[in-house]
Amino acid sequence: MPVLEIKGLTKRYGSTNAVDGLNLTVEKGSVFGFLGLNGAGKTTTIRMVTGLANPTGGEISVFGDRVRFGSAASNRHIGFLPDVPEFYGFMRPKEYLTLCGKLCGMNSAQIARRDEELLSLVGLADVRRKIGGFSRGMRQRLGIAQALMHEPELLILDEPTSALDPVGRKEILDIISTLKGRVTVLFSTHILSDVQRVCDTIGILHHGRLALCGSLDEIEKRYAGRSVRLEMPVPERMQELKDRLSELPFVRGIREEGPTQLILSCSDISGLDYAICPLFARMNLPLLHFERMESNLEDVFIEVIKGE
Amino acid sequence: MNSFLVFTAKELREQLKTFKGVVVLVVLLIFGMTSPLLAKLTPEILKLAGAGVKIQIPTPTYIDAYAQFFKNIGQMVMIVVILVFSGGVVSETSKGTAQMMLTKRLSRSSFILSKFLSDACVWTISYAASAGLCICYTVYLFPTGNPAHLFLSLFCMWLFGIMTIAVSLLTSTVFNNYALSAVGAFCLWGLISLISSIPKITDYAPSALGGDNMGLISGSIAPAALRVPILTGVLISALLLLAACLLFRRREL
Repeated sequence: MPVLEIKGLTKRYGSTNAVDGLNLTVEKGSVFGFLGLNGAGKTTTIRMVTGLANPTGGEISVFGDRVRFGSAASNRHIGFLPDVPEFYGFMRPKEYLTLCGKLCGMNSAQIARRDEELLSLVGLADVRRKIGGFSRGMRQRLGIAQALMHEPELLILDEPTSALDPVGRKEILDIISTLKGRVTVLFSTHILSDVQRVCDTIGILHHGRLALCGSLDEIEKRYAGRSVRLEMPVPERMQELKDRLSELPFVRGIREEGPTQLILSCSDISGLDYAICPLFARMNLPLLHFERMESNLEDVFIEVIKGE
Repeated sequence: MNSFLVFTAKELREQLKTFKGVVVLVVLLIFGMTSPLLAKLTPEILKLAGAGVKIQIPTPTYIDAYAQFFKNIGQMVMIVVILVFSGGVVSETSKGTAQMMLTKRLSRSSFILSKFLSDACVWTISYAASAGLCICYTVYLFPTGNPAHLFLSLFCMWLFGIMTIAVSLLTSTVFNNYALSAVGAFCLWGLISLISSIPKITDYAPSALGGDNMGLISGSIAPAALRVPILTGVLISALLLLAACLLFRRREL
């Protein structure tokens, strides 16, 4: 049974389609990486899923309950952490979690148990000071704790690591890793390494549409061997080489790695095998290195975005 | 219902912890205490100010003490009420704390009504303390005299305050920043007063709640004359709250 089902979701702001007929299903138990460039429509989609924004069209259901704009009814299944979580600065972490628990209809015993469990999980058990003095990382960790307070079946995290330093990012990813198998997670981000680390399924959103969706393993297999590393020793002719390579119909993406190396994403790798040596010969350039590579998520992402 | 009470309790704590409620209480206590005192001392102050000039001032009475009190509450305190309470919703929606609460099981109507109830509680407690202080001081400073319909007069001003809170809450729901919300509240408050001054409407308008208090105390206005303004005051407050709830339900966050 899908935990989250989105059908034909559209959100229009004036003449701009922030989300454009989005269809998406998140299966139970998965850690779903919701990827996209800034402005792709990730946060808008999440706001509609949580009932904070009004869809122009389409349907959203969470555990079969239809999400209605302005209503908190379907949120009983959801734990939500916005991209910049804001708290009541005069409260202490335990007080805030207690407030969240009470609002979710939990009794005192349940609240006391969850307070303790969650503050330990996010490393705030010994913190007694007011939330107003918290760092960004501490706020994100408390944000995860409040989202998990009522033991939701679906945890929605909107870019939880994007504003954090490497240590803060690692802490948050470690927490998400511990949740695997216990709760379904929808994790929106544009940081691909984070997705590779914790997600098992991904969906790439581009211009408000789902450009690619599937399990991370499947996608990596599907795109495997579609990247090539090239090296040539004349940096001053790098731009000319890039221009000529981009004219080849099966080259989808080119990125520089240092002054003498290029990584190419290709739709037809064998086409490149045949074309590359004649091209270098015509340009009178030596080819020092040619290597087929396993595609990583970054290559897949760039290829999907460019292919759209 | 439970989430409504839980959020109301949080609101009351916030009023205390962030000193918003304390500001309202202190301002009201100051006016409650100083109004009879000023009435008593005004002739002395004027005598000192106009050295050598002979000023004829009638001996102050309890009427002057209450007149001072109602004038201060109806003007200065209402400005403070608008400034303090018109940030209630807008501060939460612009910061993002509201979004965190509304994705729990708190309905949008409960969110608005909790804000209103806590503001009304702060207003009621502060106003009651201020009025109590004013009455005590007035009795102490002006032992003779028996004000007519004092409690009805105090109730009318309380209701006027409740209506002002409802005005502030509505504009706080409509606008996206505090300055606009406060200016909007002053404009709406002014508009209600302006409409109230139209001759055919004056007798029914809620502005009488904050303007006819001295008439009631001196006995020149019969209590029955305030029946309709009280009803319209309650009705307008309820309509403002309803509008705030409906608008907030349709607002994207």
